[in-house]
Amino acid sequence: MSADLAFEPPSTESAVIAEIGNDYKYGFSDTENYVFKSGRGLTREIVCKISEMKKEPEWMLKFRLRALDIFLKKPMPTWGNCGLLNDIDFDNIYYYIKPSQNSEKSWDDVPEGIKNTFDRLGIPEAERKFLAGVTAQYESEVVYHSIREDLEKEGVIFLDMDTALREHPEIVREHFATVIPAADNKFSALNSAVWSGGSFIWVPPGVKVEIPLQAYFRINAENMGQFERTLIIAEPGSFVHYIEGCTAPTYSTDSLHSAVVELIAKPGAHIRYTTIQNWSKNVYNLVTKRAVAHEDAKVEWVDGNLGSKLTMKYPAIYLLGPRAHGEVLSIAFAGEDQHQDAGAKIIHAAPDTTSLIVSKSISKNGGRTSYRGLIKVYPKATGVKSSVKCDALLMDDASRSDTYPTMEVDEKDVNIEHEATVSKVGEEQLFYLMSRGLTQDEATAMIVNGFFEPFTKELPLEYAVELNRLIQLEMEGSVG
Amino acid sequence: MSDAKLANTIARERVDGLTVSNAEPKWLKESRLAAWEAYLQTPMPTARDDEWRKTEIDAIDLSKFVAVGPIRSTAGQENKNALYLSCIKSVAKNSGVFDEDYVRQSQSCSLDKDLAAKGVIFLSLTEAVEKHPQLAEKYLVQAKADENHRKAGDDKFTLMNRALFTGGYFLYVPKNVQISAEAPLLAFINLTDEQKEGHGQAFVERLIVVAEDLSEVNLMTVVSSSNGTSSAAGNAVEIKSANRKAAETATLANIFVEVHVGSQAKVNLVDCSQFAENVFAISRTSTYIGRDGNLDYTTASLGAKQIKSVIETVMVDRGGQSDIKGIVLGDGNEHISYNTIQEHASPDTTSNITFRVALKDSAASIYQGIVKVDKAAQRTNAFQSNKNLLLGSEARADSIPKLEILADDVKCSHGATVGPVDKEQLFYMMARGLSLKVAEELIVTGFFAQVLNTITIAGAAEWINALAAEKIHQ
Repeated sequence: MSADLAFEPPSTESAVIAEIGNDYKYGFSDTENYVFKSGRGLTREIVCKISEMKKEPEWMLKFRLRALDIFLKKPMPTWGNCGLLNDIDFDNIYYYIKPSQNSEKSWDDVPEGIKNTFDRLGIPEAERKFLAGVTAQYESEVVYHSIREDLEKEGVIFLDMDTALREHPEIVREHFATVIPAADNKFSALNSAVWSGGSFIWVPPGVKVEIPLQAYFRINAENMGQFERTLIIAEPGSFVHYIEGCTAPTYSTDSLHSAVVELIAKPGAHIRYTTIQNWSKNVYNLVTKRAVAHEDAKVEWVDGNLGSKLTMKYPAIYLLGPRAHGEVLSIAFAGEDQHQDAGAKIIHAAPDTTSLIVSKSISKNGGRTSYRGLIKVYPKATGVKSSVKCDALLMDDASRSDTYPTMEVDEKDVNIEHEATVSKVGEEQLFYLMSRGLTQDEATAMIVNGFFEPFTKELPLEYAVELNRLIQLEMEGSVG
Repeated sequence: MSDAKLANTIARERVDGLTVSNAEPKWLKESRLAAWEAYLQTPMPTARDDEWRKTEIDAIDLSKFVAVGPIRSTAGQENKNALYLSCIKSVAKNSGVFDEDYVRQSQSCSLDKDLAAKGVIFLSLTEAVEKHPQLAEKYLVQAKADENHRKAGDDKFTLMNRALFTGGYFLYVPKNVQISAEAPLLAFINLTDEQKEGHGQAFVERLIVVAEDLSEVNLMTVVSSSNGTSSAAGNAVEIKSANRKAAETATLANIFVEVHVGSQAKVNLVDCSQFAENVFAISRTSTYIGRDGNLDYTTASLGAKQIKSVIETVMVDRGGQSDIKGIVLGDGNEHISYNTIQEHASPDTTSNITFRVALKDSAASIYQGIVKVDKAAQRTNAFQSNKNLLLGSEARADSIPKLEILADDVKCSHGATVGPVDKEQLFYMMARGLSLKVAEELIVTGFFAQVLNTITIAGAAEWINALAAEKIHQ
């Protein structure tokens, strides 16, 4: 299978460094072949149509329509990269595309064109080896979905969001939009109105899902918005690790990706959510991700932002119960014409809650990375500990790095720390490596690799082949 | 002055009145009017603006404030306030003293004869305009236009200052002249914190420091407020805390400081402010560092109702260095907001910012710092540190240290912490027999001392330290 892959492994470190952020390896695209494609633009009719096609219950249609009103009323954000944001033409986007009729359980039934795309990315290989379940999102609908039998036996529900709404309406209704209401921001309102696809996971009390659950996302149609909706509920004492990777073919006009991800970690539960995001360089990635962690619960966001034109993503954790813990570990890479505006938000709303944020970013060829974060400590949240570390590397003088952390502390008995550094690759480090016979490019690659190491080491070894390759190519592969 | 409409801070008559009564030259009148137009057109900031977040600016109605000044009398040189006397005593030797006291309605300025002979100018702004119109024009009006690197436009209160300033001093130090740290210049500005016939009073002060190439300047400025009837004038913090909640803004202080550091000049400035709890102090300190110039600036903020202070350092030319340090001690319901801007417009420049904030009772502090490194400013070193010590159970501290880096060959970092007094340190001291209160006071004093000890002006650190210790103890 791997022989079909569209790239040759680069031979030298310097080649890798030169390629970082330059060429988009998965810039192929299939001829469009869809069962249903909504017209461009957003109207009440389209929202009704989406709901009708999905045969949704009445409450969901009402929810969508209310969200649509909110979306139309809410102004665009006035912060961040407003220039790029205001370029989005909401009337020139497809809000719903359904590629094939049903969610498939077996690989053989997946339509050929879609299968080719996945084959080229190495999905089946990963599946054969170790995947617990694959929810491959092709366009807006989940087309391929399997769950290992032992998970089903344990009572874990791992479905695409649409199926979950049909099969487990009570659980969905109880939790849906409780973490991120439609009115949270303009883009969560948009998602709430037109959402389609995404993953739904429910882990019963005390169940520890040992193998990471994975979903694979792709955008394919030109100017197509992708609005998946993910909801993960970990019942008391359970554990789940969910991995989401994204890659999209390069197109000339802009695509909009605006997901909503809600995590609910009930008392003592532990959720880890890993994202590798590698949209092509014309995609707007405006995502709302938020988790709530109840008493003794733990939530970790592991977040890699490599592609897209503009990413605005600030995974948030609301620590609502005593001793809850939140971690955000993120990397961002911005190449030419890219702006990675990423960060993290931690809200300490209960005593003895702790949090850790580690953010690493690299800007190259005129790229811009921004860290935008918030640590908020409410009154009476005593014994809070929080540490934020942001490091940025600038590879050339055309690039830019910003750090905008905010700390709001309304309680005395806390320990909050923030540290940030911005620098270029260290002269002394370079000199040391080069004095041992490495070329400057090789030495630089090694330093960059080491810089991202805290992130890469958090990814599970048995990751899908495609994502492994991406990581290797963009960061890890720089050595050897 | 009793007609508030004539003298309020948004009346055109006020600007005209100033230019007539002071017999100001045409250039100043034009400059005031231009600024006044812009000032009226600029909308009032609101608490929703990022820079003014959480301040109680919305309650301020500029049309309700009586614009005060200028002071003309030089009489009443006796009866100096307590702050003045203790400072003069602590800083044993000085080369000149500027004293502007609105309580006594008296103003004076002295300068060492040798320095005056060397061409040093140290005068009230009004006098400087009269006696040195060309220099005054250059730094009051033109300096801004010459300043290519000033990207941020004047905000509403800077414009208000340009239009309406009445008090303040002008210091000019010619090339190669030194004003040493052993015999520095001192400046005292004492405002009143009383309402006047039911109206709040607005004091608009403009301070200008010019250090020409290769010169050295040591200057300490003390800004305070006191009400004229109090016997312990200058020690207004003694007002019972019960009154604090009720205190309305009676005084608006608008202070605009500009510091021009010439090539290879060395400027050491110390600012100390201690206002009563009904004073809203808005200040902007803009410093411009020339080629290989060196600025060492320490600010100590020891009280007010609200403080909104912007400290801006612009690295105009190569090789400049600036070290900005601050200590802030808040109590009662005080609200303190500092914005620091380190703008590196030129290569090979270094800037440091250290801000230490200790908050008692339910005081709140918002520190926003930004380091901007322009594309051209290669080999910049910039550091920013903000430490917050929360002493009161309802004290709040926000810290927003920002970096915007467009050059690649730089070393920039920042650190911020928020927390209570370290329990292990307390335990260590209490194990040696100190009470909790004494131990805590010692730790806070030590927390500030690390900043204050860097002050080179003889006697200044000790004096500020004593003021701070007194307030910590209360």
